[in-house]
Amino acid sequence: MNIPTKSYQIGPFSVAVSTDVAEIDRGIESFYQGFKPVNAKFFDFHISLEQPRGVRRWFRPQIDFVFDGIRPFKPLPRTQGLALFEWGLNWCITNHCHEYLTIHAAVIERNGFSLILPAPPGAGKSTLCAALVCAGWRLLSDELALINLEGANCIAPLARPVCLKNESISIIKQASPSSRFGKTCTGTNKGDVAHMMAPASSVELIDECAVGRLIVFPRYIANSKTILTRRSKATTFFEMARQSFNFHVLGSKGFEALESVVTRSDCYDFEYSNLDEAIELMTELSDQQLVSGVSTEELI
Amino acid sequence: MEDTSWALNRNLRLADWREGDAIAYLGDSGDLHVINELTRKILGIFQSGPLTLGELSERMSFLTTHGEDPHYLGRQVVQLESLGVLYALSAERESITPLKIKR
Repeated sequence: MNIPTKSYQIGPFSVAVSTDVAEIDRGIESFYQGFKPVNAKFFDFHISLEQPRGVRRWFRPQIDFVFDGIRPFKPLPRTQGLALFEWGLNWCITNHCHEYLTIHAAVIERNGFSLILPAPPGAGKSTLCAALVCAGWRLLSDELALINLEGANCIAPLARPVCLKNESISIIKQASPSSRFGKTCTGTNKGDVAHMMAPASSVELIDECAVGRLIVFPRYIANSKTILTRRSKATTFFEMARQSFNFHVLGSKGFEALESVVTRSDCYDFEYSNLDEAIELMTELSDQQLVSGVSTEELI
Repeated sequence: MEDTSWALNRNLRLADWREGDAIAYLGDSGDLHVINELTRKILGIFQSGPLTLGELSERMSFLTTHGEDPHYLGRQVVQLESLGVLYALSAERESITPLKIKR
């Protein structure tokens, strides 16, 4: 059977994707509507989501992630196909794209300055990122900060959907009823997972890099007060390097790129439990950058 | 914006923000080391120029008389030695240049 291939220019990467499952095909199409198709023979990633042969095609049906003809992961239940595509694409980028320093962090932008939210899984990074995007910030990425090695202190956008888990899904849906979500995948390794689609305004600006200015390490602690504290640049550098996927691969180039971003950014630790207060504080922090009179050109 | 990244030798880079700790990066192993404020002060002494043993002793004594624990001071010197900084400063003093950041 000949499966049609769709292509998308997702930030700096061209992706060709095909699947023989209509529901996953529609899901990917809705996630990436507004992204430009690629008119080229070369793609950075050839991905297909395929139903396995044999009994697992019908009994407790599964789905395989296939990258360049290789199946790097065990198959997942077919109902988790969309989440598998997103996680698989993260894997493709972090394992193969070393023209960027890639850090496990959300990146959003306001007033021309970007806010980097590096954090380990479960720290509340995606929830805060989604809440700020719903409050009008531009989404660059929910998962991967791509720091340009050539133009220092320049972060490339991806504008892919924000992956929310468990309670965060209903919190963001209630906070922003107009935001668009994909179908919730239940029973994954991470619990329930749903993807909030990037706003059209963020997708339109996908070719425009953002300048690093704020680095905030978020931590959701139930019933905690909203506390923002200054953090030293050395510990920020160290933690960012620890959250990086390819710092060790890039060597001195990675050191220079990270040093450049950390030097030009104000660094903070942030504890929160109330999203409204968190949005207010982050917005205030962003406004302070305008008041400080630093221009984006000075920071590049 | 002021340069904060320095190449102490071919293998060792230092990111020093002139406040709090600095970061040393060893190119061959990819290791990162935190250089605390006291170590930075000691590094500053070594970087200030060729010193006689007497001058070195005098400047180190200045740190200990200003509240620094001499044993702790010794540990920081050992850290600088293990990072190759002291070797770099003595053997390649002529080649120490600030690393210009591409803009």
